[in-house]
Amino acid sequence: MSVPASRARAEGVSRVVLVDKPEGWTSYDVVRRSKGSFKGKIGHAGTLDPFATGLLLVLFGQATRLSSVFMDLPKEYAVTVRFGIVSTTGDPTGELTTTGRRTDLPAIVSALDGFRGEIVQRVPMTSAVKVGGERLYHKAHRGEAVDTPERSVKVYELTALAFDEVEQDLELVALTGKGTYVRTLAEDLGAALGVGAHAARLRRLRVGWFDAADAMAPDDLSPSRLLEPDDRAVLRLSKVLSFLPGVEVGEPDARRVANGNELTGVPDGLFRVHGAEGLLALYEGSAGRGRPKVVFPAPEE
Amino acid sequence: MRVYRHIDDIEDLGGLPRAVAIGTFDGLHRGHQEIVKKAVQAAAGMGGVSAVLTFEPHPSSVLSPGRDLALLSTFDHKVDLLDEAGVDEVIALPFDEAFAALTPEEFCRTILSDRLNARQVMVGENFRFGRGASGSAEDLIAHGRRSGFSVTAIGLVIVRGKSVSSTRIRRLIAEGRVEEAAELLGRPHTVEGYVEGGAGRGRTLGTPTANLEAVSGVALPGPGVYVTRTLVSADDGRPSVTSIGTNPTFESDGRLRIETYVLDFAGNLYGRRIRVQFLEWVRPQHTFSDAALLQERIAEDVRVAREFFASRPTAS
Repeated sequence: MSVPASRARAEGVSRVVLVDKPEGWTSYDVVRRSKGSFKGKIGHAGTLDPFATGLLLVLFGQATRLSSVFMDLPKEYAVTVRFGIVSTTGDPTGELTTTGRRTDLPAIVSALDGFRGEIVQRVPMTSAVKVGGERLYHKAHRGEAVDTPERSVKVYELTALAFDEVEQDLELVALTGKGTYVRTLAEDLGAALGVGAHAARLRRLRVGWFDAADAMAPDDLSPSRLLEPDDRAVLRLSKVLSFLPGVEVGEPDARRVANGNELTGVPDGLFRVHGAEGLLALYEGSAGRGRPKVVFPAPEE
Repeated sequence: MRVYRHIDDIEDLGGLPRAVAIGTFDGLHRGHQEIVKKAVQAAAGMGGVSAVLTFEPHPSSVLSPGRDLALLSTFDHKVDLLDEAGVDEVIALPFDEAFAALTPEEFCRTILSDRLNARQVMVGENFRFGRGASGSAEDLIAHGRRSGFSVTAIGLVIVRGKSVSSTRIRRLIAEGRVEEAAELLGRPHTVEGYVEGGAGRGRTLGTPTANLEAVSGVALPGPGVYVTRTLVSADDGRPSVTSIGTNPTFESDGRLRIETYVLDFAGNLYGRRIRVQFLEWVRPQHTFSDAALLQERIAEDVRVAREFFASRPTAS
């Protein structure tokens, strides 16, 4: 499991950059624009649909190793659910059909409760989920429609803020767990009300503890900004994890951590491990025993 | 437990030694509790009296007047907590200009030795004292050697990898992270005050709320909705939901309001002094375009609170 420190150092500085994705851009467009002249690894932590805006985490260097940790975090979205119009893609980019039906506030208020907690969603054809070894969106591209799998997902919070009876637009804020499709949530809400709906607007407000309010435009990321973390839109590795509990280890344990060995006498849940050289790893503890989640071969301050 | 508010009131114990814990001890968090515990144990060990030497009002109100204090406990609450900790005496001196002008040497000689007959002194490791905070724990140890008292400087307590400090707890509370604050305090953060009349809107929405006029200077959790326990009287704690915010759906004056809905409670709290313990963050404040949507959300908040208490049978 251990990667030579020299190779890791060649990955360049490690940063998590908060970017506010413009409408129309793919998540990959953002990564490509952000890469610039950066030599090391670059990635992101959870795609946003092209029609959506909001927070996209762009990861540089060793921060790319945290991708799966970030993707597990709850995400908060503001979505405009437009009733009476269904879309082949669940969003305004597909083929739109008017159902001719309308709903009202009392009906919406009754229906909302059915979408909180653990709910079941059918994965959309446009997703990257694989069926029979092939990603669904490839099948969709070929015009092949399959019975997509059902997933159990968590909706931690759902709050309706405003309803425009005339336009049939519902402003919803949802805090969702990993794997939840907000477009599907909008469609299913429309189906539950018997009128049909799609997600007319979508904005990701938060990913875990990262806030879109702190994010920058993709064009504002320059090499100098990347090098000088400002702790709002550009974060160094140790800052990114700073609110997690931390444990200091001395020499023999530091080597164990570098090799990804178990640690004892540790807190429960995720925690940082620091040595003399800086942040060594992210571990996860359970009943006093800690296993590595992510190891950073080139320790960072 | 005796509480002294003036240096001249302190009882002469006729030669009995005191073990004195010194500090402002705002919030009496888990770090403070260690220091106080050591003093109680030391007093028992030498057949003497345990005392906590503290300052009231908070030195900040003298040293930096006008600054927002965000205290973690009222004086009364701190006294209750020290009583529960088994302390014999609380000596709460005013941190006035005369006191602030004492040199470290004068403080040790006149207060600790002459007045208190201190034999053992307990402080936190980053304790500062004397004029201009010129004295450190090391200085206290040196003075103690000369004046006849031993000093124990207790290191910061670490909880889940982070040191317990009043500053950190204040920040957690301001950020709405009341569960983490409770872990460092050793109990939920509590806001107390009087119930005043409100707009009566809660009743219209089906959830009558008590509007709390909080005791000034106390740290308020950041705007949001919380699961709370409301002490309608000293020993009667009830599950409740508390909203802190400007009430944006209905009001535009920007004034911070603390509104508590006590679940399944029909009593009238108007004019009563209550304590609200903050247990868990539920959600941020939102502006709702329609009262029906606010009502729907409140129903969900209440459900979250019920679930919280149901899963913790001993909590109520």
